[in-house]
Amino acid sequence: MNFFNQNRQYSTNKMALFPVIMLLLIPFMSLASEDKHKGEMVTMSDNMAMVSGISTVAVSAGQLNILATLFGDVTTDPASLSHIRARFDGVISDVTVNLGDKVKRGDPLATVESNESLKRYKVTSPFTGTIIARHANAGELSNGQILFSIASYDDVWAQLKIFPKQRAAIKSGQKVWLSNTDFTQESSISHIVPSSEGKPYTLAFVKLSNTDGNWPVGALLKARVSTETINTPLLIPKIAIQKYEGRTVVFVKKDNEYHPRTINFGRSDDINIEVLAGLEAAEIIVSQNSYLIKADLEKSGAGHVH
Amino acid sequence: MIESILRLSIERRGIMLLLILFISGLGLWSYQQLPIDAVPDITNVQVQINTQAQGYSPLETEQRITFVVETSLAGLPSLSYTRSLSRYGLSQVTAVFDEGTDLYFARNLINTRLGAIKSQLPQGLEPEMGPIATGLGEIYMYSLSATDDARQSNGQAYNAMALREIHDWVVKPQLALVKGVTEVNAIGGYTKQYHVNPDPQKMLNFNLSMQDLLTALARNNANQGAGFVERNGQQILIRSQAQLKTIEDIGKVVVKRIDSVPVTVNDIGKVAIGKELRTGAATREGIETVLGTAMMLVGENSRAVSLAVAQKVTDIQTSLPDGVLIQSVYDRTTLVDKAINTVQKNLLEGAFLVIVILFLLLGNVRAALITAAVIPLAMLATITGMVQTGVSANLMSLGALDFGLIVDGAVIIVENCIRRLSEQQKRTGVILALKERLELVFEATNEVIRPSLFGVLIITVVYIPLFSLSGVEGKMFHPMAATVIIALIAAMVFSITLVPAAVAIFLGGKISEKESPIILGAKFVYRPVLLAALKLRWFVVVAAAILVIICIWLATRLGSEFIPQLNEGDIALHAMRIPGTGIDQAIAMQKLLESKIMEYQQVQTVFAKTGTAEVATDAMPPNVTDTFVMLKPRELWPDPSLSKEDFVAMLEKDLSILPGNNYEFTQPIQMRFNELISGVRADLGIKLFGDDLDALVNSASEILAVLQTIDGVADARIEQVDDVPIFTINPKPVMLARYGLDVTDLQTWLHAAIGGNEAGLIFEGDRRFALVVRFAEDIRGDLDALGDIPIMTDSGEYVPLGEVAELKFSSVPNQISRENGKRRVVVTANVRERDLGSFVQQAKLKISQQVDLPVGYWLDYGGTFEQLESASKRLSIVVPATLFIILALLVIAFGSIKDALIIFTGVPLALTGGIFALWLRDMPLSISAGVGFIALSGIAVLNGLVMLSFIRQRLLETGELVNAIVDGALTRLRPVLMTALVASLGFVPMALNVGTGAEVQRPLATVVIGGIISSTILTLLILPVLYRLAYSKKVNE
Repeated sequence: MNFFNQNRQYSTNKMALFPVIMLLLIPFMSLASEDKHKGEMVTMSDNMAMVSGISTVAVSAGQLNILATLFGDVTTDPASLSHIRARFDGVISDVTVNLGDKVKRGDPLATVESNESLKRYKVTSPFTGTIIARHANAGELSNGQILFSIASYDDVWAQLKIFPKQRAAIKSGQKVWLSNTDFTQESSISHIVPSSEGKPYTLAFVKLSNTDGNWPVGALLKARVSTETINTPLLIPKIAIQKYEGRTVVFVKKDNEYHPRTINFGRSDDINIEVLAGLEAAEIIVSQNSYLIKADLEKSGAGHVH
Repeated sequence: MIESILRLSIERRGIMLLLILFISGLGLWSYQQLPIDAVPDITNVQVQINTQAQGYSPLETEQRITFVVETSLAGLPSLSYTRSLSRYGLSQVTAVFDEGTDLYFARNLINTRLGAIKSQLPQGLEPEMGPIATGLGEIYMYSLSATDDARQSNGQAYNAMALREIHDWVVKPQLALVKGVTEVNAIGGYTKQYHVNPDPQKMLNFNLSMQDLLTALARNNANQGAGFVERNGQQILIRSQAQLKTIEDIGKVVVKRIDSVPVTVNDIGKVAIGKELRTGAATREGIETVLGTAMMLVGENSRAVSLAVAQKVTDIQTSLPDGVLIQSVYDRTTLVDKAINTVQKNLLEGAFLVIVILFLLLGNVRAALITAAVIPLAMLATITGMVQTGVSANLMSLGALDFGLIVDGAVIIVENCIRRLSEQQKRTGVILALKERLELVFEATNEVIRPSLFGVLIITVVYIPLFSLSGVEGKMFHPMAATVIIALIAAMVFSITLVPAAVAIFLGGKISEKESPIILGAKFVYRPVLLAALKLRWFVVVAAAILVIICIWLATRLGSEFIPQLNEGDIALHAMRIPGTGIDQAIAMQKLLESKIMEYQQVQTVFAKTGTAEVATDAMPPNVTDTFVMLKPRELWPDPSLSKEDFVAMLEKDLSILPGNNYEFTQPIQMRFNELISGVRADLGIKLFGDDLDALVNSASEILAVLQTIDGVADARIEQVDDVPIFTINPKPVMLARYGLDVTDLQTWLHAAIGGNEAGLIFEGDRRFALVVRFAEDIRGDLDALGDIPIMTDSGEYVPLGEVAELKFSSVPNQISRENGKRRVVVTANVRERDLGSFVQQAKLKISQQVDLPVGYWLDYGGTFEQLESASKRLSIVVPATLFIILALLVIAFGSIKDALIIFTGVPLALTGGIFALWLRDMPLSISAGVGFIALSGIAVLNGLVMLSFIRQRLLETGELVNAIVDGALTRLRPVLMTALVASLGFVPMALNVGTGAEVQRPLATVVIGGIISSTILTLLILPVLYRLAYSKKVNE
């Protein structure tokens, strides 16, 4: 209140001061008389609300989709990786596939001449996949070595780490949105197993379809797990909530008036929050820029002390 | 002595007149040196020490910085007190020194101390002293803007950041060179930074920690010189260049190698031009802009410096890119020119009126010109004196000058000379011989020199009590008193030297002294009235006494006002939002406010500073905006007769409908003074010192409760200690250890991820910009999701933040204030309709009985009651002492207490008119009016003196009382009327003035004019009557 204090009163002449004090107080009295906050509400025309960026929303029933965030990496499906050896050791007489070739189940990979029967037989692919390693060349001895590795990345697994705080909420069967930086895929948790080697986390496995090759094995991915979906009769956006005088409130609009209303709230997801008490369906509340209403209610306390 | 001076002046009259040239020359030279400003400087001797500490919360700022800085200042010589505030990211310690301490000496002392504590402060923090400027320092403000079609070299439109870059690297370096400018302070836009925004997921992907990234950037961004070699006689310098220059360069920095494949910055995140975490912003007419403030070095001439800055700004425009405009938004020259114009106009018009009056009443052009010549000479001598005593020219110091008053002494002398010369000529019928004439001039002068000298001396003496004012009041009124005294003394010296010399030279030949018809008419009226008054003497005395009593009663009905508010012609308003409001929210609200203000036709432009500028000369939180409303000249208003007060009231009313803003209206300079002077300005301020903030607030609340039970208390409250929300991330040490981390690991990560870590500089020619690593806005801004962000552990694993730290919202104090090295909370109260002293006594007693302070907490009683008490104590000694001095001077002059007392009666009688005039014009009693009363008592005494000395002389000559009185009174009618008329008419322009500075001058002039009218009438009537009453017995005997 520097303005006021600058006009310092000459305290030695108290009676004479009175009219001056009254004069000086006029601006402040006019403020006081227009103080709309006595009844804890703000009056604002719709036009002013629009200019100020205040928007409203009706309280309605809705669904909360509570999500947890997990991180993990892409691993191959153990059933889709095969290391192929020759059934009977012998001389490899012919190799028909090369690294990177796609093979179908039953496709011949190489021909081996058995040491025992001296008969030639074909080594075939056990499933459809890609040759990811080749250690066989014509003329070599197979000698129990791995000749080819075939893997199929059409299906991969996401192996997600569940840290202790998240453990209780994550269950198998829950819906998961998996994303690396570029792609997102929906799936569900197939099973949860403790991690080996005494790590502090448990692992959740999620099957991922990788026919497009978007999920390279070893890549890190982020998973949003839908831990719970709740249908609730009263749902409001989280941005509507403000702290006002130590209470949690939303601002209810009635005509041109905005009243703070203390609410009890329940669970929330990223966007919305469930109201347990304090609001009724179809009431209009401030969503965008609710801070402004709070600011207006508390503004009488806004000062600047130098 | 006086006689010998007079003789010398008359005999060596030619040399005396040559002195005029000397005085004029000195005066003109001094005028070049005279610091000119609009208002007096009321800033105390203070040094601000600001320490910017990015990311420090108020508590950390206080603990790590403020405490250290403040403690180091203890014990400095002449240190009056220190106070400090600790905010988010800023520690500001203000050291206030005793009045009269040399500012450079103080800054030197502080500099030494600051050097000694550098090792105690956290690494990288540098305390810096504020600019060497006072509250008058912000003389020029400009804004940078771009036209809509202007394009940067990269084809984009200019945004606030681009403008800020232009300001910092093109405008500021040029302006900082202007002589007299000590600092160019910018606010607004964003300081350009290069940002690397790593994606936490990608970092995880490559097993990279924040530290890896920071190290990689730091190690791959340097140039290195490697000496030189000589080749075929030529010296060739060797240099390795690897400084990063562009965004592409930064993106290509290799952070890690996986199986001989390099991982670059581009692989793990984005590189872009980013925004700093800013603490301040600027807006103009609803658009974000960049505002610069040129601050004037203390003691410079603000008009000269702001003119130089304005010239420089014009030059700078040519060096700016096409479409970028630098525009002046506030120029002190305007105000100073207005103020000077006001003073000039008043002085010129006053001087003109004085000359006209002298000519009309003396009927002699030469005599009128001689008297009038004293005016410019006295002015030049005053300017010389002001320069010598270090008084600056401003509305206050020049505001009380009335040349009518100043030439009074000369008027009396010239009048008497003319009268005597013409009488002699009439008697002898021939033109006087030179010697005869000189002798006559000497006699005539000598006849009135004593009363006129005493009169002027008395006027001078009555200004002395003004010197007993201290603090802000003292700073405002000392220059005024000093200037008036200098002017009076100069005029006094002239009236015994130059004036008689000039009379001796120029009033040769035939003296045409026509009793002007005005005087004849006045005498015609005066004689019967005087005779009647002498007859009805008791009735006259009683009537005068009643008049005095009525006016005393009237005086109590007038309002009172301590310091007048100088109208600066513009409006500054604090727009305040609730504490904790973010800067972007505040700006959105501010933009709306400004577009609303721009709807007024009276408004030229509006601009605003939100939060704290680059140099924290005013440490404001982001929820407060200093809004400057520049008004158009009044002629361009739709209704030019609308007063500024009414306009402010209208504005305040209309703006109150904007949601969320609270306003405080003030003026630009006034606002700056408020910011600098600070301190408690309530009647009573109880300062509570202690350690714990909660305990302080609790005890302060108890004290407040006690205060509110005391009679006469008003607006009692606790200084605001606002809480702002804070999001705390408290590490869980055991959990951290489980993942192989410790607290520092976590906090370093947090600082880099949320606040941003500087990883080096990017040079663009001369310009340099910080290279900052920080998470992208969408990640760091989502507090709900913060707990999910993974942190790398040493083993290459990761853990979400929420697993190893507790995340929650809580609140901390917005600001921590300290004084003299201790935390403090202030409880303030004003006192209404009760004696301040007894209130304070009762408060002290009640608080000591009813409030139980914790151990280690103490109270300090302060506030303006102290100043008021000491001021009234001083005034209660100084005012009677002054009255005594006047009386003593009168007694010395007349050798008679009775005569002295008779003259003294003129004072209350003169005051009646002043009070009446105030009442008529509905003005409050103020210090300005008080100064008017002071001048008035001097004039009243002067008139009485002149009148009485003549009556006495006549009485001695003739021995007949009534005749002596009537004769004397009639003879002195002309000088009395003349002095009264010149003094009051000299003030008429001031009394009617509505320009800048009128607030100070109007009450003063009003009082003097009203008082002189009453005092003249009463001197002419009451004084003879009293003389008659006092001496009737004696003569009858």
